[in-house]
Amino acid sequence: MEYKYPINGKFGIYGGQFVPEVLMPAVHELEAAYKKVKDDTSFKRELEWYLAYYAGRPTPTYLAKNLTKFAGGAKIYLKREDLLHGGAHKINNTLGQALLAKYMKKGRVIAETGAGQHGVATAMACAALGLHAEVYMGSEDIKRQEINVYRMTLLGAKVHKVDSGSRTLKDAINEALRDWVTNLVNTHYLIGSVVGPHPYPMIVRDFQSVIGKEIKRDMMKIEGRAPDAIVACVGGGSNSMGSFYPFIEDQAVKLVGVEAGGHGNHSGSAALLRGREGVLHGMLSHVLEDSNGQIDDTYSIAAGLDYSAVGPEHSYLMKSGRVRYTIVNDSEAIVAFRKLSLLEGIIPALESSHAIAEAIRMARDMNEKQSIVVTLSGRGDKDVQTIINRGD
Amino acid sequence: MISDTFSGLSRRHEGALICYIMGGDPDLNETKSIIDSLVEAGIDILEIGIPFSEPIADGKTIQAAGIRAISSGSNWKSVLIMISEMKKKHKIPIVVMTYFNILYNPGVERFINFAKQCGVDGLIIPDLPLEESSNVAKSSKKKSMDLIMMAAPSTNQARLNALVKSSTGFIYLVSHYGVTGAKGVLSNDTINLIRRTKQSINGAIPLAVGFGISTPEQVATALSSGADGAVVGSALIELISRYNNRRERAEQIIEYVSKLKSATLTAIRP
Repeated sequence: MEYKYPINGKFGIYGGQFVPEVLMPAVHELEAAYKKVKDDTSFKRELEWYLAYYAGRPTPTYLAKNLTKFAGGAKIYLKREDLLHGGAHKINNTLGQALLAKYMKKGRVIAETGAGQHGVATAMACAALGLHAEVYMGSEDIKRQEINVYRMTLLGAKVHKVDSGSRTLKDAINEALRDWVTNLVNTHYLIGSVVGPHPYPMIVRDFQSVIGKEIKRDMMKIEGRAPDAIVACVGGGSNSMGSFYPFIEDQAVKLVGVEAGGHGNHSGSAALLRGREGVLHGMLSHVLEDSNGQIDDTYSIAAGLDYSAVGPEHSYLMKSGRVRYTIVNDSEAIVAFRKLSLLEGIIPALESSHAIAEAIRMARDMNEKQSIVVTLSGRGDKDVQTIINRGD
Repeated sequence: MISDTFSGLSRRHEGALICYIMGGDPDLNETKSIIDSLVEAGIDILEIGIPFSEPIADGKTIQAAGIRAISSGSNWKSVLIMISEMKKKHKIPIVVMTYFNILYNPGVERFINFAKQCGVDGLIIPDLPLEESSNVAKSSKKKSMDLIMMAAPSTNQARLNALVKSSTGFIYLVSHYGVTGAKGVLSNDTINLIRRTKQSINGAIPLAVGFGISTPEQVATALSSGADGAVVGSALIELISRYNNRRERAEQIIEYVSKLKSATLTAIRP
């Protein structure tokens, strides 16, 4: 299947390696190292050990009975990635890549972060594995997410403030790439989503696929069959890619990706549905840009969805029609955020709240014998202040 | 056109001085007057940037120039039209430097056809490595536009051979691991890199060195280590940004750039 290994680093026409020549040997080295460890028993065993005893895998696939009753249709299950160490799915990838860095004998790890979730997960994995972490973060995001900056520092990571461009995630990625260009000999760049030049979209997808594999196994146990639909939010697209990937060949399972619509109209960060094909951060994918090819600044209440592009495999899955993508606005996500908190006693991340909103919508048009799994990619403690500030 | 320039210089035992400025910094009218000064100071090849909002290969100076250019309203079309006016006035080869999304947005073929109409002689696209370059190479070949490939300290012999084969005009050697931006002196690593690369290329195509070159001494060192040309960008952009007065700026540019050019005349070339 062409899904499995991107041919020449590409998913259809998407993906590729649009990076400066100086980085080409580095991405080749990374690909070779990943190919080597991917089926290596001792690597797999070590990663499984960390995922189980450090991160807290497997996570439950939880039947949300009260939410199901509220929606009044299909059963809604929540894949509880919010219960992982650090409070989000990000740790699945950072443990995998940090271990890979260790196998590559790179003692220094750099990462970008938007809201700080990936930065914190990187700092955790690096501390656990004895690696030195440095995290790039836009100065706007630093202001908005002070606690995460402090968490990273406590975990031993160095945080670099990025003052260029819009001072948010895309600028942090630019700066991390500039660091990598300068220090690539001893440095692994630990990208936090299914974005960037090949092999990153594949590597991050593979490390996050543990989510989908567990959904598959759990649903077989609980329902005796695969779910009718899986719903997950899409920013860069790592939790959704990890949830969808093991089901791609099972056409009976509907896969739904939810992008952020911001205030509605044409705000938001829905690169797939409102963007065009373009090249950013080493990949050909969908990007939000102006008519001259300058990348747009984006907005979403969920910082983790606030990115001007999207992983190239999502572009491919949209074009091939295998995944349906849709948009949920800030206000709908907040309603879902409140609903889940009240009905289930679970405060979801605002990112995941976008997926919950869509799942409620879908469940209503389905019957009680059917089931939907929503990936609850993270917990919402980090978002409580945002909700308080809005005052609605 | 670019290769003619290099062979002419070589016959006179001169090196090429290539100067990089950002199209539309501080605005396109000023860019025209800056180009006049550069030509007057004797540069051999002009490299003009089309700004992109996410310049991953550039340091702080060129990032800032890009932001100024974008906010002055500069875009791919307006820069290319400005180049077509300059081409009527000056005989100098002009190379455009920009990131791939700027070509991808209007379409590679459309961009290259328009660039050709405007008299552009070559393209440098720092985020388009060899593996991704076949479409751009095809379209530029059709229009006999040079596609200048970049080599770096991490490039091994096999890759360099492939780059030499596909590059036209010259090879742009990135002098060190890092982004653009002025540096104090050329390190021994850089000097060795230039020597090694020149030897490997074995006269197949001219070699120009850039990233971190800002003084006449560095230009001379680059050339005496075997380079056929040196690219100066950030330091020049920095200088330009210090002067608002056109006449004063012109004087400063001419004084600075003439010294850089002199270094290409007197450098002892291997």
